[in-house]
Amino acid sequence: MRLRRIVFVTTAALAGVVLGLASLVGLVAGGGGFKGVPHAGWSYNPLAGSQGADPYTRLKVAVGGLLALDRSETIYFTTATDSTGAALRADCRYRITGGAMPVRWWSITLYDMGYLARNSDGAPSIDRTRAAPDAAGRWSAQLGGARPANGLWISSATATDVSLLLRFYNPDPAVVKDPTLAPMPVVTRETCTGGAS
Amino acid sequence: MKPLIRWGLLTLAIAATVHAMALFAGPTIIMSIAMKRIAGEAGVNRWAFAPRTTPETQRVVRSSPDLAYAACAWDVSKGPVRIRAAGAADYASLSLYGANTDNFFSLNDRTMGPDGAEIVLIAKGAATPAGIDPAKIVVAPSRRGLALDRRLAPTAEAFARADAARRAVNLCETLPKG
Repeated sequence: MRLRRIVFVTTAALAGVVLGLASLVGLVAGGGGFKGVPHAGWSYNPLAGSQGADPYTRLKVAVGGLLALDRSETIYFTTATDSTGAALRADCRYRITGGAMPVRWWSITLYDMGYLARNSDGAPSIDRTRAAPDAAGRWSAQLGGARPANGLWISSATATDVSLLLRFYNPDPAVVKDPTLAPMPVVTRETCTGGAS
Repeated sequence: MKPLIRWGLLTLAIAATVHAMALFAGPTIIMSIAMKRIAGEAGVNRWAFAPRTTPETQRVVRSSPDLAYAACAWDVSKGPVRIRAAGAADYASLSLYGANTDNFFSLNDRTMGPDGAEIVLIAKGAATPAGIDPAKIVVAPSRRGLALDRRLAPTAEAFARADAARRAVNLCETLPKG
């Protein structure tokens, strides 16, 4: 009888711990209802860094973007897909194009599982100070595994799980209020060396 | 009640408790690890100036390679903490984070002015230290936390300038109580 009780409590405890942690990981890592607000192929979390963040947002930010700033100072947009919605791939070459953005300074950085890819080519990002606009006010950059002959480049050479993070530092007040007003860069796939997927 | 139903209810109760505990404790644990790492490098209430962020030097998830970072793991339990950050011609900011990761205070180069920023962080309920301008007082929501200094530094030259500026001016120090 006593043994049965021990087994009863122990198995319930083990199953409870696994279920409790798995459900949390599933909600936070998998997104669930906490994926952020979509905007033009990117997404942002309006409560990142905020004192008003709900516990799930707070945990998600702690895991994936520790020390994020409140959106009055910085808005963070992420994407892991191209303009067609297909997942970004390290064996593909993309063109990132954009125009003037209503912010004081912006940058786009490639992350591999949340960290800078272990590339030795010194091309982890582009930013406003390097993106010279053309006569029409447009700029473009290449995202891929090989350095282009000229122009801006973000290297995905050794990445396996590609995502991009667009930082908006000191966004205009209207964009702070409604980030979906911001015109966003477009990520267009050009070629792939591997098979289609 | 049938044993299987009792077992299911107990499992669900434990699952809910574990879920809630991990949810609320997770950010604090992650922040605590970051604070310990920074305090281990420079000590508590001292700035740690990070090298340029590269794949080899990155320490925190999603660090920017275009920014120069310095961090101070502050602790107001032994008294107020004076935090000073250098001004900058380009983007720079001083931001404070509580133990639960919330960003509860920020100044940037425009709001802090060309001479930079100086604030005095005090614990909740603590008296304003004598001789300190009340406008500089910031009440910490927790006993410990992090201050982060960010400076625009997309090139090696810009990083060198930012590093020199912050090392010349930045300060993070405990003040006597009262």
